[in-house]
Amino acid sequence: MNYIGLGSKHKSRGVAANFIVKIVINNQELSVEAGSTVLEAARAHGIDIPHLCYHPALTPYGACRVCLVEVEKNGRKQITTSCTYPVGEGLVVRTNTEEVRAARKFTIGLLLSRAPEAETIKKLADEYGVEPGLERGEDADGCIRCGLCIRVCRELMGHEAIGFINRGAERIPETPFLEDNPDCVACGACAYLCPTGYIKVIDDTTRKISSWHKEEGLAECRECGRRFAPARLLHKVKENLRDLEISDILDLCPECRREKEIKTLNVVEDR
Amino acid sequence: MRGKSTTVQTISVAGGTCGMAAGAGEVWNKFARVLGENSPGIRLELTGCKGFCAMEPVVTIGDIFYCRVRPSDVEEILEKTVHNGELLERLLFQDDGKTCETRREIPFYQYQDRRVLSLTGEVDPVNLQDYLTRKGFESLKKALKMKGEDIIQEVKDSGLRGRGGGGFPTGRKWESCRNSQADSVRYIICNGDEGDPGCFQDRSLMEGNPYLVLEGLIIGGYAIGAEQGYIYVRSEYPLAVKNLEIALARIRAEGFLGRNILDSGFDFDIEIVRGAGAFVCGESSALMASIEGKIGEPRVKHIHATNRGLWDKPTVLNNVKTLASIPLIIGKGAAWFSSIGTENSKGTMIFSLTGNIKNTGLVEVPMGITLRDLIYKIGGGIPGGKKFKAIQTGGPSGGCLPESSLDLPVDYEALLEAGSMMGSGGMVVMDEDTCMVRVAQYFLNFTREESCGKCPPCSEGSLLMLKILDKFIAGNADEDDLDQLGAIGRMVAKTSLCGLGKSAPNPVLTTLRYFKDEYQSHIKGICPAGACPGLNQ
Ligand SMILES: Cc1cc2nc3c(=O)[nH]c(=O)nc-3n(C[C@H](O)[C@H](O)[C@H](O)COP(=O)(O)O)c2cc1C
Ligand code: SF4
Ligand code: FES
Repeated sequence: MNYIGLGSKHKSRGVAANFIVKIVINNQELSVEAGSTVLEAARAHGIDIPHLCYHPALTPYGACRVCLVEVEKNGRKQITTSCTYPVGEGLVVRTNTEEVRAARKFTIGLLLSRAPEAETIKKLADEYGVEPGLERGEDADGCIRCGLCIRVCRELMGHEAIGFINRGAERIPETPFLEDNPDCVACGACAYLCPTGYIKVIDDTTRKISSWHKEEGLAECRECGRRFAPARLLHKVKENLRDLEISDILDLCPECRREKEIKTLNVVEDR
Repeated sequence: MRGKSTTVQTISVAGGTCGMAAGAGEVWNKFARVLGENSPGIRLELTGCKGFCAMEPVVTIGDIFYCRVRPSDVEEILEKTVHNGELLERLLFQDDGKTCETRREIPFYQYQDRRVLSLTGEVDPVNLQDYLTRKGFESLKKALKMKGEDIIQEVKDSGLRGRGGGGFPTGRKWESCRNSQADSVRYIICNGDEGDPGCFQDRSLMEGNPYLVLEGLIIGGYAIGAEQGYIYVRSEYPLAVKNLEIALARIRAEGFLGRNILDSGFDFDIEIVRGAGAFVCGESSALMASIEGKIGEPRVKHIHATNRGLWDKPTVLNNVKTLASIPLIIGKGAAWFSSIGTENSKGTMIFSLTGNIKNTGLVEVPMGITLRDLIYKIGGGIPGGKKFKAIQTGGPSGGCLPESSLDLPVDYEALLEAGSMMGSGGMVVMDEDTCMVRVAQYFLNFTREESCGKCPPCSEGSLLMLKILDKFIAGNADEDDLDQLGAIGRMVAKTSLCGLGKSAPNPVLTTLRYFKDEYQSHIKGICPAGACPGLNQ
């Protein structure tokens, strides 16, 4: 069967799994999984739609407005975000019309004025021939309010270390009271997903995440003594994996862990 | 001169939030003090708003309508009018030198058709007995003997459309909720968030006749098969909350609410939820998130709330005025309701008339009335002998219509085609001294401040437009800015996430459409209204 798109969290909207519907994307008839979004369906078929606030493991958010496409249903056309729009039998999607590209160009321009230095945005801007819509100067803080950091923290890490504060153009992800939040274990998942590099993780003898006013001690590797992971994060992981009896390898830095694994394998082979 | 009355006379003081702000509380206190505990033949009543804001504090005695009453007038009113039937000329409404002895003669009321508002300002808002003697809850009794489908059919036949913004047909909304997700729990919510600046229709109803709104909500709940209703009230409306709370407690005690309502087997209860204090919380998805205890922020929804709304259950969200129309439709029938209005806009609409207009206030008029009649007959025209310039309808994200649109009927489609909208019923009148570029700036600034910031077209796009408007106001704009402004406005409307951003450019787009010459004058360094400092007039 010609469909993929599994692995997404936001799948079943009350629709039986593996139920297939036919849609048309750019004149191509495709079988897609019911309950998936247009963006997921397109990705599953290798059709490229630019996106910034979407991540397959997180709830769709629809905020960056870059994944805009034209959808046509019952003869009615509209420009909408593909990351949130559910597929349905007979849906017709156009991902690359002049109107769609003009709309994306507009939103990319607005994002570029927020994050003029970010490589991801610059690349999109080049592709769409955009100049920043607003000259912000100092105000261009590099954050595009995509909310990936907040969602990954809440939905995957199970923490609520950060959230948006303020509204309108002043909206920004922050910790409560703009101070270190003990709920944050400095895992760095937020920085890993951040499309612009707004969140920076600096590891030295401690881990610093200045956006979240965070400084967290790093644990030493049992073998080589190198500091490699936030101590509290490690503690949390050990707690979670208590039943697996692998806690002794968790104290090792990735390199020592690999070495140990190789040794173990050798032992097994020697036998 | 009138004869002395022998029956009970009711002195009624309009005590809505607006009246109280104008001093109605002191007037009422004075009456109460002078009358004392025992005043046979006289009943003193504090009602909701009577609508004529420009004349507050208002006191009525039967048909007599006294304007701008001060506590110092109270003793004379009692002695002359109440005891001797004499009129106090100076307190009567004067219309161009003509004194109006009764309310009926006042043009502001003469051309209105107060149906939904018929009891607002006429009764003690929380006195259940008052409401009952005026056929209150008769419609609920009737509805409980009907099948849900039949109520919905009646509402469909009436042609009632949502009074909160989009004008979606109410009967169809109810039907789609009733028919989705069989066996599911359902909810009905009354939207009393009313964030539009200068609008107070919903407040006036909730304060002045809470039973009517609640009766509509209960009937709606029964029709769609809900057991729980919510009324979401703006946090800045303490009097509305208080009156609704009292009203809820009383109807619960009388069996109009709660388990087995009036022995019909229908269980239904209502909870008041206080708004989070942001304009955007009136938007459907943000409002429901807020009730769920989440951040009151719009969410992308391609599935209707009637299918998956509050807690993902089928949900109806209706405006206060929409629900307040329901008891009338059930009580008097769909045909009565739809006998007035235009082909696709039936019944009456309540507007807040504000701005450069003589008679500011709350008016209820038949759909289809022209803007001209609304402004000149009811509103009394423009004060100070000034010329009319524009009328903004539909709240901060409505459009500004010019003189040439004055013969448009008040009708959902007609207003939309003209680039504006019915919205929740805001109407701001502007005279010749108003600079339309500044008007666009003013409204856009409102939506910019209220933008939640989730999506860039709304939060950043409105900033972009404001920058360009600033250039016009400073006289630094060129023809290119004119094109840019329109292009950005259309893009913001097309690419924003929720209704706030989608409609935010309306004031800009309509002023560009109808007052383009004024923008062009600004390019030449001229502000025709003489409102922009540094520019010539
Ligand atoms: C930004 C925004 C603010 C809104 N505020 C209100 C409001 O204060 N009251 C209201 O009834 N509807 C408001 N609406 C419209 C509601 O989303 C919804 O359409 C309405 O309550 C439905 O009721 P109706 O069908 O009776 O009109 C708002 C919409 C938007 C986009
Ligand atoms: S359009 Fe405005 S109010 Fe609506 S989600 Fe976007 S930023 Fe928020
Ligand atoms: S990826 Fe769809 S709106 Fe951001």
